[in-house]
Formats: sequence, structure tokens, C-alpha cells
Amino acid sequence: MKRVLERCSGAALLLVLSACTGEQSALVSRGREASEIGSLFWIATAVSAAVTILVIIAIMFALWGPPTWKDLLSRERAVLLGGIVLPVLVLTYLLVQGSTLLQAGVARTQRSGEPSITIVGKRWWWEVIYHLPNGETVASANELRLPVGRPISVRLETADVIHSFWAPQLGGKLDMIPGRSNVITLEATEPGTSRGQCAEYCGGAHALMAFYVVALPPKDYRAWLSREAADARTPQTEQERLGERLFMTSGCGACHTVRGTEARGVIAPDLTHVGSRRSLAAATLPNDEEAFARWIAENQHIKPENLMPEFDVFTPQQLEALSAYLSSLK
Amino acid sequence: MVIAVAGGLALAAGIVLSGVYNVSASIPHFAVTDAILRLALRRSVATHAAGVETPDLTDEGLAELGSRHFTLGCAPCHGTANAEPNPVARAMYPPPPALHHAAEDWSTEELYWIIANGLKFTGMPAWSGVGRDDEVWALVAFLSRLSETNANDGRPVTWRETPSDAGSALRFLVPERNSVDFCAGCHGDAGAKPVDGLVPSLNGQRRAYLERALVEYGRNQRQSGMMEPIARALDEDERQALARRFSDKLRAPPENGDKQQIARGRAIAKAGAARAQIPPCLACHSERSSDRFPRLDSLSSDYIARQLALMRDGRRMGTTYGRIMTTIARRLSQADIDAVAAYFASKRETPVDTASHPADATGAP
Ligand code: HEC
Ligand code: HEC
Ligand code: HEC
Ligand code: HEC
Ligand SMILES: [Cu+2]
Repeated sequence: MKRVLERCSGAALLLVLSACTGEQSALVSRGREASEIGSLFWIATAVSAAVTILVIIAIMFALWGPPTWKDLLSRERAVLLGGIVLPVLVLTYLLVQGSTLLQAGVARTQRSGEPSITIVGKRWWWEVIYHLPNGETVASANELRLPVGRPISVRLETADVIHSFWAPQLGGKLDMIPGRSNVITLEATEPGTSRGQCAEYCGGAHALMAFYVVALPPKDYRAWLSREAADARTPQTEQERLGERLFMTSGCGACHTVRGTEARGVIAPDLTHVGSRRSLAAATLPNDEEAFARWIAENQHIKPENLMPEFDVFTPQQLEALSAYLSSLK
Repeated sequence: MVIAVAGGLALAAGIVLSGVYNVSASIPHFAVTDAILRLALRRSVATHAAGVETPDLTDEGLAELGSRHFTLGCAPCHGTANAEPNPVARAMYPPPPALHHAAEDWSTEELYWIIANGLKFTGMPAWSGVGRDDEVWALVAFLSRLSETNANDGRPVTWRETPSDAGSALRFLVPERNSVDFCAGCHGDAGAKPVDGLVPSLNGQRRAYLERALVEYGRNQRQSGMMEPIARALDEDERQALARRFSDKLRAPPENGDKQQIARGRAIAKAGAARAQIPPCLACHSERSSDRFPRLDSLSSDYIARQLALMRDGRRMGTTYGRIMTTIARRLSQADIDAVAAYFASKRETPVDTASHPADATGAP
């Protein structure tokens, strides 16, 4: 019995600790807001620990201490100081610290003047819209790219139910609420990739509604954004051309857009540069040709209840061509 | 007392196990047994038909469609006014009765229940595809009409005369099922509309789609009590020949629908409705789309609306193609369905057979 208990607690500890490292750990910060939240977390933890230790010591003295101490602790003043003044001071400090952290972000973006990004939560993927300085927009999906060292204000909206946007290594959680636009400020402090996910149950495929955040040096970010704003690359090989034809005639364009082609659907992720993303279907699959083929033919098995119908209608050669075409959309 | 019960059981077991009881279909029941069985059957049907609701059956075409299927699927057993039942069926016990007066003996709900469920221990089969009880009403409409016309002038409604008809009722389930005229009896052709709104026009439909549909009916992947037996009897060459023949023809002329509905349907067809996740229909149903996707601009509004309702209810999910369309049909409200049906029925993208219907071909968009 004891051994079983030991093993269980060992396993539980492992689970808890495994959340402390890796691409989605809240304890590793790659963003200004996350690191501020991180310090707030450590301050709050330290203060709580100090208060706990203080209380334990007081209890020990009250039970077993010398009579003078017992006397001191039972005075009215001790209760006033320890029970009212101390909590008020500690909680006020934490409140002030917390609200300055939350406000500071907004002030920073106003100063930096970087164009904003809008993220729209959908069942069960993320539409990511980059606003360009000239007022135009560039639509992408399931991946957020940020320039390192620039605070960006990200507007969070939803097309259907409540979702919650959470990129733990960059900042806090914020809900996406129907009819509202909530703003969060994110500033990446170092280049690199981390993962985030929807943190509010939103129906069927909620557990598979994640995304990647890719932070790039500002120069690379600008270069990437101008590539992202361009139309899709025209297919080069015979196979890619066949893939494009299949894409256009099989009705994929009813839901998806590939800019520069006749595919102008608006209810599914923009695929203009899908080949250059890190993952497919909201960080459900890796981004390679095999994953494209599997997604097209058996997506309801991979991500049950997602809103794309399975197209189990292609021959293996046709699937290969379609995947080659989609992969080529860098 | 105990001895009496035990003796009775032993006697019953003796009769069953000895094989003394004669199950021959040539020896009728005693009159009293027959009366009890009839009573039980009547009561059972009346009780079980209690929840059924009769839709509007006044549509002429519905009864005519019923008469078509009756000739193929019922007349071999039940016969018609001008054709005796098949002699094999006449030797059944109980024998299938003539049905000229069935609508006087039974309510429409009861007729529906009998046809949809069959009658145990009589040889009367349940009919129609899985989840396709809607097709049964065509037969009920026909049987109702049959009684009325019998009462009036003694001439029942039957298969509209087409060359292949002659004597088809006399053949047990195998009339000439591979001729164009046979199909045209229900589906119409140049100069004749389909017999009812629930039957699609095949003219001008895509060849690959027609062939695929026939294969799917034959394999029990698409449900229809009317089309499944017909499609199963066709071999590959016949499927190809018929599909080519119908796809080569010009499509039927457009319908005139309600202007407002058409406008609403057009908006959905062209742009979809992103709020309800509805994609534009024309992205899949246009001349540029795969030839395995059907054309919609040759179909009647009744047929389109019926199929969309079936798909919405998950009744056409036996194939991948059906499941793709089901995903979309589930996002349509009844008002959307009526609107897109009106729009596609009023639209003809490819050439229309105006010569044979000059009167119908008035200016719809
Ligand atoms: C009825 C609308 C619809 C049709 C038609 C459709 N899709 Fe999709 N597709 C979606 C939706 C919705 C998603 C997002 C699924 C999710 O992640 O929850 C998606 C996701 C995808 C993705 C992953 C995109 C990403 O950002 O990771 C690919 C690739 C894709 N579809 C390819 C295709 C291809 C190829 C076809 C045609 C054979 C097709 N789709 C037809 C609705 C559709
Ligand atoms: C295999 C032969 C067979 C076929 C095919 C068949 N039936 Fe029957 N039907 C019977 C028999 C046998 C009875 C039972 C007669 C009885 O109970 O005395 C019956 C009974 C009925 C009755 C009840 C009649 C009454 O007054 O008791 C109706 C109505 C009926 N059938 C309609 C149909 C329809 C409509 C079809 C075609 C969809 C059809 N049947 C196909 C054999 C057949
Ligand atoms: C008794 C009437 C009848 C006869 C005869 C008939 N059909 Fe049908 N057919 C129907 C009905 C009713 C449907 C619609 C079924 C459904 O709801 O799926 C249909 C559907 C079809 C379809 C599917 C069309 C589409 O748009 O999805 C094809 C193809 C077809 N029939 C071909 C034929 C051929 C070929 C023949 C001749 C060999 C034939 N039919 C004879 C009644 C008939
Ligand atoms: C992603 C592609 C796609 C889109 C978008 C689409 N359909 Fe379909 N539709 C199909 C396919 C595939 C079939 C064939 C289903 C089958 O074979 O069972 C079909 C079949 C149909 C049929 C049955 C036709 C027949 O002859 O039986 C109707 C009616 C229909 N669609 C209406 C619509 C309407 C209305 C819309 C727009 C709201 C629409 N479709 C949008 C792919 C699509
Ligand atoms: Cu969610």
C-alpha cells in the first residue's frame, strides 16, 4: 500500500514538474508581460510563505511557549496588528503591484506606436490579422508572429462562443467575449517559439485549439510580414499544378482563401502561406506533406467535430499532389 | 389441477414435436382461427398506426409516382385492375389481395404503417430504404386515388403508357429495366417532366455523377426504396450507357419561383452566410467543379428541398460525398433550404431544352 502511494505521488510530482519546462511552461518567460507576471508570482509566493511561517511560529509559541509570550499573543493589540493591519498592508501591496503591471502594457504600446494585431477565436482555430501601417490587413491563422522588443497590442475577439487566449510564455490569459474586443499587450524579449492554447472550454474540439508564437528579430519580422502580405506562390512543378487544380475543383475554395486564386472562402483558415506555418489545424499536426494528406482524408478522426468535412475521395496520387501544392504555399 | 396442466403441456409438446400439424400453405386455417388472426391483425395495425400523421396527398404527381413503383414492386403480388397477380404469388397463403379497395378498408395512416412495416407471417414485405419512409406516402397516395377512380369510372391510375410498359406487371420483379423509356417513365425526358417533384430530372446532369449515384444505390450506400432495386439490376455497361444518354440531353426548362426567395437563395449560393458557417454553394456546384459533384440547375425545387432535408437529417451519409454535403446541409435552416431550392430551380447555367417546352421557358434569372 505504501509503495503504491509512493509511486502515485511520484507520478503526480512528475506530472506537475513536467509543466515547469517546455514550450508551454508558464514558468519560463520569453516576454516582458510574462516575466512581470512571473515576478509578481514569485513575490506573492514569497509573501505567502512568509505569512505562513509567521502564523506557524505564533501557533507554536501560543501552545508551548513561555508564559510571557503566551500573554503577549493574547493581547488585543496582537490581534489588531496581526489580524487586520498586516493583511491590509500585504494585500494592498499585492493589489498595487498587480494593477500597475496590467496597466503598464497599454502605456507602452501607445508609446511604441507599432501597428496592432487582431486575433479572432473561432470554433476551433485562430484567425490572426496583422494590421499594416498603411491600413491594409493580412490574414493568417493559428500562428502569431511578433517582433522582439516591440510591445504589440493584440485585440482579442470571437466569432462565436467565449474562448480564452493564453500564451503562457508571453503574457496572461484573456477571454475573447462575443461582441467585445479585449486588448492585451505582448512584448517578446527573445527570439524563439512557444506554444499557447485556448483556456476556456468552447465545445467539441476545444482541447485541440492551440497555436504557436514565433518571436523574430524586428528585421526578420518585417521581411516575413511583407512575404506574408503577398499573394500565393504560383505552382512550379507538374504535380503542384495538378494539386492546385484539384484544390480549385473539389470545393476547398468554398471555405478557404488562397490569395491570388479563385479560392475566396471566408469560413476557414487562410491558406495563402500555409506551407510556412509550424503546424496544421491549430497546432494539432506537424506541417509536412504527410500531415496535409492525413488532414484532408481523415480530419474527423484526428480532430473530432472540427468544422471541415473529410474529403476521403482522392486517389493516393491525387492526395500527394494536393499535399505538394499546399506545402509549396510558403 | 396440477395433473391437468401437466397433461395439457405434454399434449402440446407432443403435437409440436411429432410433426402432426400440417404447415402446408394449401390447407386453409379453420374459419375460427382465421377470424381470430384477422382480428388480431386489424387491432395490431390500428394500435401501431396511432402515432402516424398523414401529410398532404392531393398532389397528382405523387400518386402517379406511387403507381410507377406499384407496377414494379407491388403488382407482381397484388396485381392491378388490368393485370392479374403473378401466379406464383397467387399461391401464397394468405394470398395477396387485390388492392383496389384497400383505401376503403384502411385509413391512410394504417396503409402507411402496413407498407412501411410489412405484415408478419403473411409474406407482405416491409418496403423502402432505411430512413426513407417518406417514399411510402407516394404508395398511399396511389392506393387512395385507386379507390376513388374505381368508384368513379372503374379505371385505375396506372403507369403512363410508354413503349416498354407492355405487360411489365406480369413479370415478377424483372421488367425491362435497362431501357431509356423505362427510366423516363419516372424521370421524364425531352418533352416530359419527371412524374413528380420528388424525382430528379436526369437530363443534362453530369455523367460521372449519374454513374456514381447508380453504383451507390446498387450497393445500398444511398437509400431509396424506388431506386435501389432498379439500380441493382443494372450492370456496368448499362449504367454507363444510361448515364451517357441522359447527360447528353439538354436540361429541363427553369421554374418560376417567388422573386424574394430566389434573391435570398442567390445570395447564399454566391456568397454563403459566414455567420452560420454556410459556404457558397457555387464553389462546389458550378461548371468548374469536379464532375463527381452534381449540377443543381437541372433540378426541381421540390427535389432539391427534399434532398437537403434528407441530408440535414443524416439520411444520405453512406458515402464520403454524401457526408461532405451533409456537413453543409446541417447548417441550413428550413428558410435557407426553401430559398436555395427556389434559386437553383429558377436558374439554368447550361443550355436548356427550349424547343420542347416553349411555354415554360419564361424569363427567370
Ligand atoms: C466546409 C468548409 C471547408 C471545406 C469545403 C474545406 N475545408 Fe479545410 N478547413 C475548414 C475548417 C473549418 C478548418 C479548421 C479546422 C480546425 O482546425 O478546427 C480547415 C482546416 C484546413 C487545413 C489546416 C489549416 C491550418 O491553418 O492549419 C487545411 C490544410 C485544409 N483545411 C485543407 C483543405 C482542403 C485541401 C480542402 C479541399 C479538399 C478543404 N480544406 C476543404 C473548412 C473547410
Ligand atoms: C411478396 C409479395 C408481396 C409484395 C411484393 C407486396 N405485398 Fe402487400 N401483401 C402481401 C400479402 C401476402 C399480404 C397479406 C394479405 C393478408 O393479410 O391476407 C399483403 C397485404 C398488403 C396490404 C393489406 C391489404 C389488406 O387489405 O389486408 C396492403 C395495403 C399491401 N399489402 C400493400 C402493398 C404495397 C403498397 C406493396 C408494394 C410496395 C406490396 N404490398 C408489396 C404480399 C405482397
Ligand atoms: C419508379 C420510378 C423510377 C424509375 C422507373 C427510375 N427512377 Fe431513378 N429515381 C427515382 C426517384 C424517386 C429518385 C430519387 C431517390 C432519392 O431520393 O434518392 C431517383 C433517383 C435517381 C438518380 C439520382 C439522381 C440524383 O440527382 O441524385 C439516378 C442517377 C437515377 N434515379 C437513375 C435512374 C435510371 C438510370 C433509371 C432507369 C434504369 C431510373 N432511375 C428509373 C425514381 C425512379
Ligand atoms: C464543399 C463542396 C460543396 C458545397 C459548398 C455545397 N455542396 Fe452540395 N453537394 C456536394 C457534393 C459532394 C454532393 C454530392 C452528394 C452525394 O453524392 O451524396 C452534393 C449534393 C447536393 C445536392 C443533391 C443533388 C442531387 O442531385 O441529389 C443538393 C440539393 C445540394 N448539394 C445543394 C447544395 C446547396 C444548396 C449548397 C449551398 C448551401 C451546397 N450544396 C453546397 C458538395 C458541396
Ligand atoms: Cu476553447
